[in-house]
Amino acid sequence: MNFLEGYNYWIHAILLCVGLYAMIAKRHLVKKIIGLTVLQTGVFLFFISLASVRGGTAPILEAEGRVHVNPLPHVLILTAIVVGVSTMSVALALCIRIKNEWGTVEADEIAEQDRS
Amino acid sequence: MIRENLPALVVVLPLLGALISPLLGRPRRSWGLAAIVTALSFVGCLVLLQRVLTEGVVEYSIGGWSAPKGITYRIDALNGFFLVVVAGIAAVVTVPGLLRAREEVGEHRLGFFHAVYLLCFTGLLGIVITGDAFNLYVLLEVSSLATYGLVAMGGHRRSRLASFNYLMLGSLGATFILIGIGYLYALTGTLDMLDLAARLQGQGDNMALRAAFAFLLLGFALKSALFPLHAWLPDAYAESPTAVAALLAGTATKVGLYMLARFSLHIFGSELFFTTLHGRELLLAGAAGGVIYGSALALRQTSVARLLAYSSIAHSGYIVLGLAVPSATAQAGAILHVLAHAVTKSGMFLALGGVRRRVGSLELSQLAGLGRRMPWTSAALLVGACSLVGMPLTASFVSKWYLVTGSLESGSWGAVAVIAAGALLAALYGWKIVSTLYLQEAPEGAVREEAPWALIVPTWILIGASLVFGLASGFPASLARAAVEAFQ
Repeated sequence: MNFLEGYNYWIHAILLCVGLYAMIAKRHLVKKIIGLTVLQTGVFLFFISLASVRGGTAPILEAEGRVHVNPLPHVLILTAIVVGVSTMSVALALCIRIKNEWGTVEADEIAEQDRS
Repeated sequence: MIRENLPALVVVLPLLGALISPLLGRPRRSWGLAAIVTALSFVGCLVLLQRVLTEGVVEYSIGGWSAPKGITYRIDALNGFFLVVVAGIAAVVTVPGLLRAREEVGEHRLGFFHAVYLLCFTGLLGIVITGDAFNLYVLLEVSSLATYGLVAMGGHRRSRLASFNYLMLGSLGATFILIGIGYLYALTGTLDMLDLAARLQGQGDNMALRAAFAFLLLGFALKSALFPLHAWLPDAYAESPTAVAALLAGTATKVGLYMLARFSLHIFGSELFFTTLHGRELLLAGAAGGVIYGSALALRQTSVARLLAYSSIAHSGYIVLGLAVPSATAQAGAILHVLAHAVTKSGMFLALGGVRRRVGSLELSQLAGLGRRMPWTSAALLVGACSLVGMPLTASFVSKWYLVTGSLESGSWGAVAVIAAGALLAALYGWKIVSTLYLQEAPEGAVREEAPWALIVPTWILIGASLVFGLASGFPASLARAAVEAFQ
């Protein structure tokens, strides 16, 4: 089996790792949010890859009788994208509040203030 | 008409309430709406449970599209039980909690607070009632996003930080659950839980199944604050407004545990989940760590709210322990402990709402001699502490009894040792609260000033429930057994 066959699954795995790393290792809160978004994008890619069929076309009425891709994962991901956008907006709103109240969005500086 | 559509109505009612409440203008009206809606939902859940007991599994196909094509709400003994617990806690907590929210959140934001509160309730009920795996993910995000908003409305600036950390870990958990569901879909081509359960039985051990298992397990562990993924919980509970702390303590982690129970006992099946994929060893290790670590850290806290939050981590541990021990008795004990812990912890957090109002602080050093100043509130905390330890006559005694006998039946001596050690540590931190309240001298000039009755009555409904279920445990115990035995 060719190593690069299904390369989109490899990209999915890499995106997951990059996102997770940013969420854990980055100390800037907005960078953590970017990490979360990258992670979620990796999941979207995974679902869309699941749906693909070799030589398949869009699943619309004219495609009847021809091979078409599985529409269900697309619909699921449409929902998941909406969820992802709302999560990001809640997180960014919290960041604004944190910046106003703590004067910084660096996790280390906030922890320092919290101790003192 | 109401009868046929009841499964949808219990979820849709709070959702509609959430949409309407910011439009009502006056906070008193949206408060009334929230109270009525949660109470109606609770009654609906009771009726549903009664129907499950008499008629068996209740199914409702949304929009008339039957499973496996459409989304189904499917209620059996397991989620019927959880529905009643979640809706019951919410129904009792709403009235006093939202009364306190007036001071804690501020008058002008109350309409939105009620809306978000009802959205959270909608999501929690939806997770429990749904029979579709992807629908579960969507409703999980509905309740989670609402919860982040609720936690952020706490009075201190640390609330925003607690909410942000909760958001990061909570979203990570939900995303893991989504990946897990994706792998299950890739394996079986279905999202309907009943269909999934049937098609997974034919699967041998393979890599995709292991990936699904690993991601789902991590997601559930994050959502139910299983050690070592509990970091979000203490801040989220301690920094949020009273209503939110009391609601979350009784429902949020419990719903995470429901998902764990549903996927392990039903969808994967005990054999596949616990034995083939080694879920038992993983969960037992996490549960034992949670019980010991949570109880030990509870002992070190100087604030009662944080003490109770750490004890919640320990009690999540007990429930997971019971699910993972290979014995139907222990699993029934785990389900029963969900009820016991939910009523106790929610009641105690409500009592703390009254303390915060009168004393202005939840530091143990400030609460000396509170037994004289606030007798009813302190008595509630006393009974609650006894129930956390698992003393006889309280609900936790019954559930821990089941846990211990189940563990003995299956020869899991380690589990028994962990439960015993947890009870010992709980006695120590319980004593820490009780001795502060009753044995230390009150500061000079302290007068008797009880919390308002609107707070005491609901507190005692919950604490009283933990006594009632301790004395008359027959009905919930038989329910918990039925819930577990359906999947044996």
